[in-house]
Amino acid sequence: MSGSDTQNAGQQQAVCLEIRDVVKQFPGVTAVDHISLEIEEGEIFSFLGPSGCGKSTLLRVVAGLENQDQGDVLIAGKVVNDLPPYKRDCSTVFQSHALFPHMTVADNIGFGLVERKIPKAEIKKRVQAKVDLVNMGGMEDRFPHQLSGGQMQRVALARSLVLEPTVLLLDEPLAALDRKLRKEMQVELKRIQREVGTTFLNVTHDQKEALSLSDRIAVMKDGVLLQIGTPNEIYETPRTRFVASFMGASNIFVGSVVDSADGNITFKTEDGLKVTLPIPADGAVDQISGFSVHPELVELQPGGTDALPTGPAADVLLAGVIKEIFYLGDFSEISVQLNDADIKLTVYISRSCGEAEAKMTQGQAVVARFPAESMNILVG
Amino acid sequence: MKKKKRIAQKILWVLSILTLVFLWAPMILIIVFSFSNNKYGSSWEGFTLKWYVKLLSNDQVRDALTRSLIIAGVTVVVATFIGTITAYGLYKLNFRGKQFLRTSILLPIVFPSVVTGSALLVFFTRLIHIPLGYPSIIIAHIVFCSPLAVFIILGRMQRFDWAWEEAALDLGATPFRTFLRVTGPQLLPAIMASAMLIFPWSFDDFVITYFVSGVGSTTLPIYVFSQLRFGATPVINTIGTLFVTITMLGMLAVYFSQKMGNKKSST
Amino acid sequence: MPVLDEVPGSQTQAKKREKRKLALNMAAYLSPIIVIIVVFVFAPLAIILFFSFMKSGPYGSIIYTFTFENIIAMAGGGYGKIFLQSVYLAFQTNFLCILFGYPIAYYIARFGGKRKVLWIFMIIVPSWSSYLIRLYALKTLVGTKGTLNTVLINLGLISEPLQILYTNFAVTMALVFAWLPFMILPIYAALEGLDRSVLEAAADLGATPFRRFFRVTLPLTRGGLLAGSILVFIPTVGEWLVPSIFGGSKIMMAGSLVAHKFTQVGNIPQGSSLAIMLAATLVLILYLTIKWGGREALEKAL
Repeated sequence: MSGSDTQNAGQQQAVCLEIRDVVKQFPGVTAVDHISLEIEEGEIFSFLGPSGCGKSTLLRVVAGLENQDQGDVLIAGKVVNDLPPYKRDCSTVFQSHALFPHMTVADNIGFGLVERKIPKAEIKKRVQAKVDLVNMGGMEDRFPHQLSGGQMQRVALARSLVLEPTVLLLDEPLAALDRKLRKEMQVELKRIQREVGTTFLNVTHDQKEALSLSDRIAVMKDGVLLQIGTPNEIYETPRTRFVASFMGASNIFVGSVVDSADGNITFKTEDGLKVTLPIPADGAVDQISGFSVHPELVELQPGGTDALPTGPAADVLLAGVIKEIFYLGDFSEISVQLNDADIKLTVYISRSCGEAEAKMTQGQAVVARFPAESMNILVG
Repeated sequence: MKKKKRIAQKILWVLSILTLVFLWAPMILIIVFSFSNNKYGSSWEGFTLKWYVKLLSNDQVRDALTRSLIIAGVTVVVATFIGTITAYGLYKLNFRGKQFLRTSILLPIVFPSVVTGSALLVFFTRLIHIPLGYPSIIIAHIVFCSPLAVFIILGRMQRFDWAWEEAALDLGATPFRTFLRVTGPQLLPAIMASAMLIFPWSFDDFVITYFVSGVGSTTLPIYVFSQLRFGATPVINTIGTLFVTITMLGMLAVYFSQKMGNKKSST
Repeated sequence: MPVLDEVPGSQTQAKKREKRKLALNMAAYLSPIIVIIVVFVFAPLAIILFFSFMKSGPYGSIIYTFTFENIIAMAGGGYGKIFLQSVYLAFQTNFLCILFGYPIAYYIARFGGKRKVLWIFMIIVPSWSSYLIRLYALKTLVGTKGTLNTVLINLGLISEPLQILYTNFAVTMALVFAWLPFMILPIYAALEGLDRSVLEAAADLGATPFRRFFRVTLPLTRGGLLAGSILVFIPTVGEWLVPSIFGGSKIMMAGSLVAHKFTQVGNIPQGSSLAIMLAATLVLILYLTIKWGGREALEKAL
């Protein structure tokens, strides 16, 4: 789930795709709003975001199927703004796979090679290689309407890969598949990518898919890039409230900083909860709009209705009452209603917990504690 | 409640059959009589094929038939071509006045034939001076057949998944080659369908052709009309049967090509 | 959110390029049809409009002086009456086609099942067959010496042949015969496109079959009715063949009048003015009907 070998901060990877300050507008809406980023050779990079955030538009701009209003797209160092899609060194796998219905699997895969005027014998060889790569051996003479969804997607993949593009663009390729198939295809995709080494640029709205598949993720909303990082970074330390909630974080506190002294700041949530924490490293105090805590990092201590210590402490202590306990097998999800604010804290208690915790019941008074460092500062 | 539905269904069925009888009876009669021995072609007197034989040896008929075939042939090719590119343009491009254009394209088919016929006649004789005969007839036919092709092909286009075009472009095919290898083959069923529907339309046309044909350019329908004042004759019966058969064959061909096309293009 | 006018010069250049591309594309794909419509539809119509204001000379020549005499002749003397009669007959035909056409369209759509294609085939073939031949066939059937009469006489049901031809009834019947399929098909297309669940919802809410039909089905198929009406009404007003074959010289419609002026009499200005009147009325009707949403249904039917 976390980063892979290609993610080395110090190592210099070649940049194979660069997007420079691209803007794309449609009547009434700015789909892509000044986005810049670099994608390294050989990585699986995902654009992640809700529908309408502009990720597909950005992908189409890279492919040449849309023309940007501003900004540049560079593939392998060359500016491709004025190149039509059939002259760009990238290939797209469409969400609807868009296989040509009147052509066999083999003809579909070989389509681009025919356009490049490659001799027939050579085409046959390369097509066969890719057919084997995607495990579609024996189906070369089938027509698309005879294939299942997963098979069609694999053919689409082969069709694009056989051209050995610098970047392979995938536009929500697994969205149309059912869950089980999707998981299988994710594994397939990763395996294929590792085997051919082509850079994958993937667009998806499914956080889990992005997390499991990608080497790096860019989270987008309303045409703006919110955060780029490895799956680990995005999940553990989301930078903005949106990213946090989009990635499924359940304890998000919204509010602002009300006081700052002695290297600490006092954060007050909308519901009046006051928390003290050390000043963040970059010192951008006024942009802080909230913080989040992962449920598995919160500890529960039974008892304790006395007032909380208010001074700076290594841990944050919040008193509350257990509202609900959901037993989920390998862990339990506990919802704690805080005393001082109308907030429900979600806590995960794993099976391997202490006896005291295992015996907690609904309605019991508890103190939730988590270290200040486990709080994730959010901006925006 | 169910009983009511069944009664209603039965009544509708009867009405439907009656309607079909009404629509078909006259033509079935003609077809039957074309095989009848009766001299006037108006009643049954035994089976014979002699009228068909006579038809083949009739010079006037052969002449008119040839003319009709040539005209229909040319019209089909040109009108289908124009229909295809027009449909493509109408579907893909958006511009002010598109509605107006679409409605205008309807005009030739919807206007009464006397209006288009007379207007074209005056136009050909008084303004542009196009010789009456093959040129005028073919132009006129193209004018009222092209819209048909446009709408048939346009209709098919609206059920397309144009992602194929983007995929082809993305894979390295220029727009021209995309049309050649992907869009064209997909459109083929519709193009064939319009060709097979335009053929009978052009072949059977009377009124407009009558206006713009001038003297000496007799098409088969015009020949039939000239024979009409003799009342029923076996000649007309046989020609009529021929017309109906052509139409039926055309329809059947369209139907089967649609079926085949659907199989190949469903995803 | 940044707004469109904040854009620098490079954007307007891109937009200009797109506009030019659009114009080029339009020219490439649409020029043939535009040429056809402008040169061979609008221009001829304009010409006869022009001629309708010209004087008619002897032997079919035209005297190029501006005059209103054709219009006056139209309004007065008989032509106006014939014109109105044509419109009336067209309405009648339209109504009858709906009356007879809806049941069969409904039957096929609802109860056709596997045989739907066959039914539709049986309806399309007459509509596409030679118009002239169909009329001739009908005439053979109902003429004085025609099959119908012969059969009826032989059966002893009547003693003298029925004089069907050359009556108003004959013309109406022939018109319906000719145009009925063109009403059935659009209605059928509209019915096919209906969402069954809408009807089921109506039933669920307590509507009887009768009311369901009138309150739900009929309104929803309005497009089909309109399309069918366009296909039937407009050509019918300008009918020539039917009145001449079935009505003889006793019954004249606008179309036969136009044809008469052009071919036999060779009176172009008069013929023109009639044709223009006809065309103008029909364009108006077409425009109105399309405004009421008929065009999509029309295209669907095709």
